[in-house]
Amino acid sequence: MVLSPDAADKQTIVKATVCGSALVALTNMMNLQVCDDVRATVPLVFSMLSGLSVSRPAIAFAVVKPDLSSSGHLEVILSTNDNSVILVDSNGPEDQLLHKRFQTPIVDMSVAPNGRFLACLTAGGVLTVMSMSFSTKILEFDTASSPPAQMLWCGEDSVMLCWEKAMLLVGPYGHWLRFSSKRSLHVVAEADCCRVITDGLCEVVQRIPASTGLIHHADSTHLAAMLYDAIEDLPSATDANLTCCSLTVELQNAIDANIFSALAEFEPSKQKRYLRAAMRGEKQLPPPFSKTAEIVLAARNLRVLNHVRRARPGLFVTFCQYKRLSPFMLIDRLLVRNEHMLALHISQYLGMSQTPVLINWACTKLEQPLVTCKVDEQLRNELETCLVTHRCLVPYAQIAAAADMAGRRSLAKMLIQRETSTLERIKLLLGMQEYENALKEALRSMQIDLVYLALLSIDRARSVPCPNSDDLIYKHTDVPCLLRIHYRDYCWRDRRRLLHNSLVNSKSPSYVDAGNLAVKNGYREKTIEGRIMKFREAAALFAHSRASCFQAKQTEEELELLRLQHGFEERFGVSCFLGMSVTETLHNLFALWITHRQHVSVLKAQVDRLQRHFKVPERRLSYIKIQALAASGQWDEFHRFALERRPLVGYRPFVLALLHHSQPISIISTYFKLWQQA
Amino acid sequence: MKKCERVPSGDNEPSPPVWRGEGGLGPLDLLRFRADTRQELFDLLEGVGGRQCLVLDAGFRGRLDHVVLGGADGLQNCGVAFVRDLAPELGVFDAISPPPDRVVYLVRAAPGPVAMVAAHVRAAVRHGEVGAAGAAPRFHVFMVPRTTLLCTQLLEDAGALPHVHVAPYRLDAIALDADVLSLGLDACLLDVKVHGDPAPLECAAQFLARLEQLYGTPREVWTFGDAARGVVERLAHADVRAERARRRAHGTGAGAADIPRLFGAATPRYEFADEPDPYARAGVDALVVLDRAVDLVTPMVTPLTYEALIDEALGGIVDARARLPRDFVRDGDDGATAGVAPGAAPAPAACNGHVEYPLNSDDALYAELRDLNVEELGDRLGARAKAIREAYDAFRRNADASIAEIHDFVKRIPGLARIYRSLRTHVAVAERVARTTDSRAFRERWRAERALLEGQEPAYDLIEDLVAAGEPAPSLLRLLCLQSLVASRAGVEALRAFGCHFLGRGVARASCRTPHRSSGDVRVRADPAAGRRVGRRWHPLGAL
Repeated sequence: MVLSPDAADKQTIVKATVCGSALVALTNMMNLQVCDDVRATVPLVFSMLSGLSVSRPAIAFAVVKPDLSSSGHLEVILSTNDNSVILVDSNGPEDQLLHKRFQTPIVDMSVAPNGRFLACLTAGGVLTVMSMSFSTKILEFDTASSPPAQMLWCGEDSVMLCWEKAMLLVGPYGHWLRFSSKRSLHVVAEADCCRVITDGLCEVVQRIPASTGLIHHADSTHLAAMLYDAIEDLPSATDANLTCCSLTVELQNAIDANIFSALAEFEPSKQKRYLRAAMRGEKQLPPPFSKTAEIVLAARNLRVLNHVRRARPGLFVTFCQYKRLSPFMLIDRLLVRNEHMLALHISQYLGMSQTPVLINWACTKLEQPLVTCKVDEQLRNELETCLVTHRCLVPYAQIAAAADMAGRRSLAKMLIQRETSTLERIKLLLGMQEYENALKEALRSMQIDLVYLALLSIDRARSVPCPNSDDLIYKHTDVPCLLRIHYRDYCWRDRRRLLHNSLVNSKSPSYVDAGNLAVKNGYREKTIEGRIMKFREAAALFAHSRASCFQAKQTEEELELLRLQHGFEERFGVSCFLGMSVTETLHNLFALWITHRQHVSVLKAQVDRLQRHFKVPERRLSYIKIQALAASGQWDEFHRFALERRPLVGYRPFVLALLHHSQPISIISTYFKLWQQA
Repeated sequence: MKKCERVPSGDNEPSPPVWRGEGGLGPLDLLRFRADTRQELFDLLEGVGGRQCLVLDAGFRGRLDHVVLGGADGLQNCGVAFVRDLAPELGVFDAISPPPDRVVYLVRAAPGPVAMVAAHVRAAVRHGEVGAAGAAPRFHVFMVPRTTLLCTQLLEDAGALPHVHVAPYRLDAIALDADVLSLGLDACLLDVKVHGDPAPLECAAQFLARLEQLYGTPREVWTFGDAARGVVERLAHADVRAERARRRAHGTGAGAADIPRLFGAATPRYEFADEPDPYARAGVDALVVLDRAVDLVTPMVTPLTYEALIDEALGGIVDARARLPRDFVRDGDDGATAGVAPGAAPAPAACNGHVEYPLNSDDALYAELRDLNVEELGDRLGARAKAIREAYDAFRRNADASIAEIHDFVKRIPGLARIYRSLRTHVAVAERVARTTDSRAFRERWRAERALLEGQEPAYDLIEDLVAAGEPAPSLLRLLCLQSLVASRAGVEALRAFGCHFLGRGVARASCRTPHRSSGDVRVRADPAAGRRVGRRWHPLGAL
């Protein structure tokens, strides 16, 4: 137990108790140290103020589990030396002011399993059972002896007091039973009974269930008792008796009582008798109220319980405990005790999955020291023959993992071939760092997620020195594509570098893709210098392979265009060129005539240069010129261009341009006539 | 160029105001498919519980309209209090009603949307709105059509995974019409052929597996093209996996269902269902899987059918809905399109003077017109108008009509009125279409394409004219693509001369919108077309 930091230096623990997963301790300064959940990864310890001091110390304390308390949090009940009781919860201590009810201080307290009652034992040997609200006293019983060593609840309605060699069971109405023993004993409370342990025996003490009491009561006239008795004497006579009683509901209750009694009974012969009685009653029930299913279920459960109660495995559980435990936990407990055969049969009998049992068996077998001397193949055959007999697909991955853990890698590889789930197979192979096999498996399965699972593991392993992971990735044709998609879409940080490296630094570099990437990045650059640099890089990449000479040429031209546009902008002091196509650049050069009269000859020369360099057809140049002149309103130039010689594109574009810019009808009609003549 | 013959539906009866035509009349009962998709969504939302804010990825509103009656707003019964589009900020919620306590994302499993979700979650964590231990997760991410390892990894890298609940929602296809299912994979050709990403193939295979489960395994499978073969191979693998899972489940009684699933698509429910063996109930004769790359020419050519021209001329048909100017669908009563819409669909959303108008075979008139050549359109519309007029006139002339006849006619009036309304809309649309098709540019372009297809020399002059006329780049590129697809080698060389027109424009990023129904659509046909049989059915047991 770790004290909370503020208490660690001055206080020491005087008392501690465990309750479920919680741990509560009382310090010498009368403070409570509580740990809610000791099973947590980092158990948290906090202190609760009890409101007590050294002068008024606590004598005993009991803990109420969160699921039983009214507040839903852990509560602690403390008894004080002045005969009172203090309830401590998250809101702090609250004195219940019980000074007058008790003559002597309470020395022991115990909370009932249902959380509704509190049993208190005073120093004077008086047992008092109170409700948890401390308002009503349910029972007061004077033992007239020294306080016992233990006080426990036996079931939900009786209290067991235990001295060194004697026990006293006090029932709900104050009646009692005394047991004495020649040996010293210890009692453990369980959900519905008490287990008494001496050095030679382990016994179960349980209050007789109500249904059994009903049947066996000396003067019981209940139908359940009649059913039970009918088995023994005069079956035919009582049959008639039963038939005349047409009280279906009562009969159903009677059958239920017999079933419950059978389940609560430990001796098989008596269980049979109860069940027979139930069946006798069942015969009389009309079909819609049939209880057959319940009886069959009870018989099944009893069969399982009787089996586990045998000397081997010796799991003596009551039916109530079995129900709370669930069959799955029962199987687990059997597996821990190495009772695999029984576990397998029980799971088969109850229609549960047998796989966990089979896996556990195989794993346990692999861990045994005996198997180390066996050859892998022999062991595998042994496992397979045993597992196949049960005609189901066993998940071999777990067995293979166990084999790997046991240091038998080759056996693990053999076993993994039998695993039917590709995902499990790949996960295990990756865990074993068998990257190549894992990748092959993933590719064979044609599931992208699985390929990525293998791929990302390999990619991660690449950061630590792993000589042949690159070979691994680039050996398969589809894999580099997938890796690139991962880099492109999912790696936000330095994805360009990763992508570029994966394209260029491989055994079969893809320069076209790398070049395309550089071009794309170029367009993302903000500055002209950055863009030019990226394009140069792209051109260099394209030049690596003959297949991409078209791309290389285009990139060179793009670079040239950028340079020219940059030059135009600097020379003419405008910013209308960068990012334009050749067509638009030419258009702008024509349009600039009107504002840069002094540079017209230079502009014309530049147009010629552009046209020659980019091999712009005359036709397109004419179109561009017509539109540019019209758009910038250079009508003189427009007419001169139209009339100096017969235009290559005819007069239609002229007419359209004039119409578009709403020129006078007279001019349009002139051109229209020219068009008509042509 | 017609891609596929349409199954004549031939219904002239008035339609009740429920889903109809959009799934019920085709060779397969697509209503069942729709119900399956819808039920899955209801189950998912019910599992979330509480007051929810549903956040939809781009385009999902339109898709949900085809799944849930009334679209996203029809989910109020499932606890959806707010519906938002996925954006960097979700915006403020209504001050009167309490804010939602759960945020449900419906996003496609792609990096963009998932990264945005991760940003939302991170912001909420920063503000201390989530992260309390033990509390039910506030964020639920339903990835469509499946969760992928990479997307889950993305959430994990962003530190959002502990705070969200991730699950798949198989909204892989929606029934657009009685015989059309759309996967909505817009960029599948780019992904598969250019980037080498097989994800769309896997989506298609997953969808086909579901279709098989619903309608039976086809007796034979025909594939055309590499991608189609890839899809069918994946389908066969999925069958093997399903068969193994089934055997595992059967062999061990209650087992198999409790095997934890770590990632990837959910194992479909049907794998463990006690339904009869799908091979035993083959209601489908043949499955034909076509790779788009088998025929790249068709989408590049200007179409001439009515439906395709609405797509070209009126801004596109998205999720079987066109955006028409308001005066096209003007109507006396409020239910502007009640007659022709899938009945209970919400009144078309209007904005900027446009209304969304559903186009599907529910509308008997549209079903008749959609595949007509534009030349026949006018005659047919005129004939239909005349028929309605005659029905009215015949009744008026019949002065001594018996009570039964009057009663009969009155019963027919709603149907006639509906057809009349639809007729008016289609006349307006047809006029707009005709304006496009009658234009000189359209005719010249069409003629040039025709000449190209017939093997004549490419019309460089026309392209020059288009460049000069400032034709937008996608349209121009489409023509150039067509030319490069059909032209000789010399022709392709000549096309390179046009490269300089695009220099400096970053054409690498200009995407060419593929025309109507080119990708990821599944057409259900009553009888299989004749074709080369290249695939055969893989029986899973043989591969086990």
